[in-house]
Amino acid sequence: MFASSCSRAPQEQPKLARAGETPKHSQATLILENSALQPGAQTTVGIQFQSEDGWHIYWKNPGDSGEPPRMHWQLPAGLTTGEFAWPAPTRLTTTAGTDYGYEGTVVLLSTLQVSPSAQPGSTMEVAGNLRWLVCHDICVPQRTELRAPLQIASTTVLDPAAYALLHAAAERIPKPLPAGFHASVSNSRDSLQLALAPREPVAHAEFFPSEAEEINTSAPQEMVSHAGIVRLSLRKSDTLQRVPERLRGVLLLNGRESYQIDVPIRTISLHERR
Amino acid sequence: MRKTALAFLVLWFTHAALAARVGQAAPAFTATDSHGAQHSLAEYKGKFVVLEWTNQGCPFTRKHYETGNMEKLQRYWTSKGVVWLTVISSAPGEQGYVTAQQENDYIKKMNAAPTAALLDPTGQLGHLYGAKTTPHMFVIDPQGKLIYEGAIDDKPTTDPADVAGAKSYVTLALEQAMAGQSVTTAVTRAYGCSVKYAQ
Repeated sequence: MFASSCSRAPQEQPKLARAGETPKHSQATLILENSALQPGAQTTVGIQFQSEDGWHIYWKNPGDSGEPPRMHWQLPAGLTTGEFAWPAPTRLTTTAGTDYGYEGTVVLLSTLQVSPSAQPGSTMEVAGNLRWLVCHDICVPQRTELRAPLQIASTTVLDPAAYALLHAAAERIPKPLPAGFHASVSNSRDSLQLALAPREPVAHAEFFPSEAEEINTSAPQEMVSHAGIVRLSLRKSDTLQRVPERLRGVLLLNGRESYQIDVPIRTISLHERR
Repeated sequence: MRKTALAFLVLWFTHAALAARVGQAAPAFTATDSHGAQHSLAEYKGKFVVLEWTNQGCPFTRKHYETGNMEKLQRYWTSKGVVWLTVISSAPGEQGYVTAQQENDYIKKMNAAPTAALLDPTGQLGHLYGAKTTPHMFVIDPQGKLIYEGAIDDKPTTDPADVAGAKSYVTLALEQAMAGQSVTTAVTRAYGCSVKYAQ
């Protein structure tokens, strides 16, 4: 089920934005994997953003500037959603720093849970107000209302196109570290050292912190490989006041595979130092 | 002895000029405002100074100006003797760049009340302080020490509805410092548009 935000715009309007009207540089679409669900069932819901060439939206941690999209769900009793799962972002460089976001098309995923007490035969509306910021050199706030109907039925009806799109989107969501892939983090003076024992060779590694104040977003992340161990040096942010207990974020390997990192930060004791 | 003291001073200024760090001396600067007057940080010794990076077109600063929040803060704190310097580091051709006249017109139109608006089209002052966003706020105490750096408040959005109920870090820092207390939240992540420095 695709419900595009642009479908609500009157068709007779000229393409050019009128004076004072905010031009649209990205479109948002609400996508439901199923058009009908049984009471108690769970499904995947996505918001697809398609930005014009040269424009981008932001990751949950936008980096040095920007703002992540925010969806204020308006759901009837009997429907609940979870938090968004975000694909690994890309680094976006500005003259003032480095941001984390997405160019082109990106899909944020969530789950939609139908209450077991929902009545078969009824139609529920999945809806919400979406606010997001789209930036090029300049930034334009956008907002739209997204809505899509969901039938409560005795059988489940899958939307094949939506399923394919959401399935492809799920492939881009960072996965938990697989068994046997070890990661540890140590605290040194100016940096956090992320040590990885990957199962396959790593040519390129990049870390994106979930929290804004921890890592210097513009500093190069130096990678050193030795004896099967990959060390990534993450320079601490100038605004870091206290080293957190855990390092959380996303690790992107070879520009393809992405993993969730949630590792305790240990402080190197003196005898371990050279 | 005087030579040593001078050398020490030069060293100290060089060091101070490297970066703006909370707890250390705020980098010394001289800049020109939208009326052509010069302002140096040194002349405001003995007063609290607020530096506010801005860009008229940025939706984050617009949230604070169009709700009247920034103007209110400027009016309130300047009435308490605080020197409030708005800084514009947008390069010519970039969003937020203004001529002196355009800035004066904007201040009048918004009924804004900074002590002065410093024009920094080369980005020199912006880079000296490491200003990353608009807004990006700095608070300097009467001894010239940087006591706060970061966001204007705790709601990093462009939504005007978020202004009411936001915790103003700038107000908190000024209130605590004026009461002789140490600033509890001295550094935060500034939020906003990237400062539109020269490419």
